Amino acid sequence: MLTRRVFSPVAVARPFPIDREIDRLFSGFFADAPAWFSQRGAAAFPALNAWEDDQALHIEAELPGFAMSDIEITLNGRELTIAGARNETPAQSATFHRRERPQGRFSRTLTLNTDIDADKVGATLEQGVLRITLPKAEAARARKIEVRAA
Amino acid sequence: MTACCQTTNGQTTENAPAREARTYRPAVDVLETADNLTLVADVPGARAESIDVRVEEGILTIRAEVPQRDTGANAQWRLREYGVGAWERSFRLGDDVDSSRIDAAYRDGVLTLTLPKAEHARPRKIEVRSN
Repeated sequence: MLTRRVFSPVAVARPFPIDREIDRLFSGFFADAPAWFSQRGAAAFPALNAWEDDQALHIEAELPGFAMSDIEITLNGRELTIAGARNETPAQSATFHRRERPQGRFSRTLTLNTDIDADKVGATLEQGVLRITLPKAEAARARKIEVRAA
Repeated sequence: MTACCQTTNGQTTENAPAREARTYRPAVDVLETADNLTLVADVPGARAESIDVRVEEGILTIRAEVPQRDTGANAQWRLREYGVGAWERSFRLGDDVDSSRIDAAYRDGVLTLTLPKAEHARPRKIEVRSN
């Protein structure tokens, strides 16, 4: 499990510009390993974006193909855990030529920098994008929060 | 943390501008059965009507426009591990695919293309006569 402070100053954007290569549909059975395999093998899943406003913390993850029932969101004090699984089972007779989409279980835990009103946490999952809204506890809202540029 | 631990995009670029729209390379699975090839692409954040699938000169291209997320006026970014922009990727089709009958369906951020095999590429049962 990977623990990460949401509000550490680390906020490096990690966009991935397309290379305009053309893939072959038949990859020759992994003769050319998918690009991500070497580049990002150790990346945590799912990648997260997070932002904050006066009222709440917002955390977003891309979880395509997941249903809300596949995802478990747990808030324990200031510790937020997002866990779940994607287990697609293709027809037995199918042969994979490429298999890049992540499968299996995942779990990520974040330590938040502020108290959350746990009763009002909300989550939506639309078009494969999970968004969690964590309203700040009353006491935390009243406080002046020093904001560093990310 | 186990098998499910790769994210869905392409290469890493540090210090990219915060809200510049870019194009990203979706992760795909390609499966083959007796009659079809199936291409499954993760394109979260797109809508069915913003997805373009086309075949030109034997090249299959999928492109999905994704609007920037609405974070509200005074949002402060705290974590940016992935960028948001259009998804695009191209594949060279072999002669074995009947490109006139490709079916595309989109659900929950996943685009599924069904590419029927051309007649000559399908497995054929040969009747054996007994003399």
